[in-house]
Amino acid sequence: MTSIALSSPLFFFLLSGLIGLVVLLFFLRPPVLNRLMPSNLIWKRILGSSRAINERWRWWLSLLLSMLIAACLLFAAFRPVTNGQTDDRSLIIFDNAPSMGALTKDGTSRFNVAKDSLMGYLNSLSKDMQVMLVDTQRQITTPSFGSISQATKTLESLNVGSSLDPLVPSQVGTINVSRKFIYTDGVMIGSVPEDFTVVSVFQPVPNVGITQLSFAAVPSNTQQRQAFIEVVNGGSESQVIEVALTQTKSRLVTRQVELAPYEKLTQIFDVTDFESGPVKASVVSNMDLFNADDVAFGYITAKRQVRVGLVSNNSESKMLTLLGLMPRVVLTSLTYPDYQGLEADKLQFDALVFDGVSVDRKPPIPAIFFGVNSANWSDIPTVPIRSSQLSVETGAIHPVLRNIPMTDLLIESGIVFQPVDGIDPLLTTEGEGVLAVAVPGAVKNILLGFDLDKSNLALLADFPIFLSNSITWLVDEPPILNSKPGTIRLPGDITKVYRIDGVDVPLWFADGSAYFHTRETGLFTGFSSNGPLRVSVSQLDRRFSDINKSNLPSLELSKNFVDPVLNGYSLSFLIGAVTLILLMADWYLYHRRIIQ
Amino acid sequence: MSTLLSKEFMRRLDGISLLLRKPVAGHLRGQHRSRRTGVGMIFADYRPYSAGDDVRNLDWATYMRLDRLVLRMFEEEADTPIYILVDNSASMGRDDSGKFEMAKKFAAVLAYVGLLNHDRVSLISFSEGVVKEMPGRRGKNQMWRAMHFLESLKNEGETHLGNTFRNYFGAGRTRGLVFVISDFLLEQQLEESFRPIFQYGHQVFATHLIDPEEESPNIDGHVVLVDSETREALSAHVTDSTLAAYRSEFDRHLRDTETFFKRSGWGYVSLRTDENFETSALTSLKKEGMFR
Repeated sequence: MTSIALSSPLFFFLLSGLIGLVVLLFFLRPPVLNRLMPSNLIWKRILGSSRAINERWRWWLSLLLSMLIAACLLFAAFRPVTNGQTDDRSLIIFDNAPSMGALTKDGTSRFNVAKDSLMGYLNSLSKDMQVMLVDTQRQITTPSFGSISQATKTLESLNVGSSLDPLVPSQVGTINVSRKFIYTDGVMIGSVPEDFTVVSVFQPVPNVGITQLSFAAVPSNTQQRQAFIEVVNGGSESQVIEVALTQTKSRLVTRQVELAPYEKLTQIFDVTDFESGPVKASVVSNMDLFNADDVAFGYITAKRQVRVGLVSNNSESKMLTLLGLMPRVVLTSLTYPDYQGLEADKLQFDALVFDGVSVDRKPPIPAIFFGVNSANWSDIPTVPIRSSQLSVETGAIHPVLRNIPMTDLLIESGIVFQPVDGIDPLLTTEGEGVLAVAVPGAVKNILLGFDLDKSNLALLADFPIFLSNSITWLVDEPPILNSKPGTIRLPGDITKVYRIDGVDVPLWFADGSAYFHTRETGLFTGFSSNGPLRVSVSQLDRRFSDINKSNLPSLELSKNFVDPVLNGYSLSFLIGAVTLILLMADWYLYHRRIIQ
Repeated sequence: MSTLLSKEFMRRLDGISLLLRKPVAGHLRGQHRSRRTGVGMIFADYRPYSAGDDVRNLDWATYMRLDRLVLRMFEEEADTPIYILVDNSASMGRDDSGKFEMAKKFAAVLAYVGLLNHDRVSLISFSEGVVKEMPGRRGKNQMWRAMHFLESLKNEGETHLGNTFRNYFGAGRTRGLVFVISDFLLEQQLEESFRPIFQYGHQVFATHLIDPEEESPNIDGHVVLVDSETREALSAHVTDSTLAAYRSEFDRHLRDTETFFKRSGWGYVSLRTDENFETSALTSLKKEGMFR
């Protein structure tokens, strides 16, 4: 693997310098002094003995060198194209990883520099050359050898991708062609086959970026929220940056921090005054040539307290104690007759918890049912548990079961639900069925087919978390989907996706999921019958910001960057270097050929 | 009279005569010992008188004693042809060198002394061959002609002594004294060049003119050395070691030249252009036994 590159201004500078050197040497040659001598008889005797043989050789050698110099200068000036090789195929890997979007000091991106370079190379090839173009972001789905015009069109259609794992297809290593090039900055691309010639467009540039953004409530005070932002300096120079969190013009917090080279720093902002909704985080720096990681988006979820009504006939139940201890919950204890006595519009609760109480109709607000002996209103068929001491599995990843293993749950008696469409199984037992289900919808429900008294659920350390997750799922908005640019997978019930500026984003459906594609960061909202789904698209990854981690040589870049390897300036440069060496040899001979 | 020789110097030359080691082969009366017997001052031999002999040479004392007519013979004093060859090739003529100027002066000295001694003086300028010639002249009154000849010389061309000697002496010159005034920077071998002189039996006196700048050139670095005669360019990067090698080679060139003439039994003097000409010329000629 070799790395050679040369920009055209540099080449012309060198060529001009070489020509200037030749002219300078001409003018600096020793002045020839003609001396009229009475006779050269004595001189010929002393010079002739040593010069007779050497002079002849020197003369021929000097002539040969002069001819070579002239030929080299001509070659260098006309930049011959070495298209005369027997192999008329070229294999080119074009790296369009996200790091290629970094700007160079010239103001153009690495991607465009590489594109211009490759375009120049393609234009310099003979018309009958076959070219295969492969990109690392799989934007070219079926690479194959084609004409130069096809390769040019393909190249025009390429964009900077979003995948942080650029892929060099292993098959390209098996293609037997003599001309193999890879145009890359060497940052994100992995191993390159040895026989490829790397055309580097890497140039170290300053960059700061956001690599983490999250929001969380303060455990001791549910009314207080904090934002966690991780910023990183991907450059080799210290930078003073301004980190800002923005929701509206009035809701803006900023902070200035100094980042040492390659330093990572975590900042915590108090965003208690922020409303629930989208938040934009940004870093501002005077020296930053990679903007894609300067902005991140997130959502602050609702932070209000939850009014929970506990319907239980047991005034001393564990549930009462647990719910009462949850700081977020404003608990009201009801007996079942009290609950029955309340009309639907008088239920001033966000959620209801039925502990060992069976109801004959579906509550109008979200509810969780412990010990559902019969749930006819739910249209979910149930059967009694046949055996006791069931071990439970939590297979599905559901928000209710987040961070809960539930591996030690034991059930003595209860019912199991028959799986039907539209419900999410939470707890299953082998051979028996579903012990707990989550019923999504406008009014969500969680149904557990066993009483707390008939199981050890209330004794598990996971139970408070389960209870908290359940209440959160019942009353809060759906969890925010954080994603990276690219193709984003959504639940299958999503029917529409809008960008935050209201633009409808095209969706497609496959394998029961909905997909949309975005190359840019931003906020999106998906709509379904279950309510909205917030989608935050940000490039929060340290690899994304480390745009200077490359082993390739740094180059002075140019818009007129032309293929450096086979032809053009590089060959001219090499010829020019040879010319310089020959010139020095000739210059030496020029001195020596007349020296005694 | 001349710009080449000052009056004072010519006055000093008036008392000088050429001293030749061997009898000359001149046909006219002169001041040099000749192999021929005849009118002269130095007794050579006796021979019987025969009719027609000059009775003034009869040895009357012998006649009185032996009663035989015996004729006294004297060594005849004859003139000698003097051939003064002046190198007027391009290598002699650098403006700042003075070699050519010194060559003309030296030729003028020789011509003056020769003419004073009633010798036949011929002046020849040469480069690749004979360029210009003043045929043999006798008598002091020919001095103005000789000076005019020398002053009219201009240096050009390459030096080729062999061609010059073949051209000039191939015409059957009387054996005489050959003065060669040159820097002897010759591509040809001296033996090969002087072979015609050997063949015709001339006496040679070589005057080697040396420019100090030639001996130790003041050059450094990258120079193109242009040969003044052939216009051949020679690139050289002159360093200290190169100069040392050059000086060593030049010294060897001087030694080889002197050795050649000495080994041939000829006279040889070397004159440096940075020395006083009058002093060095007379001293060296007297030292070599050429002047008396």
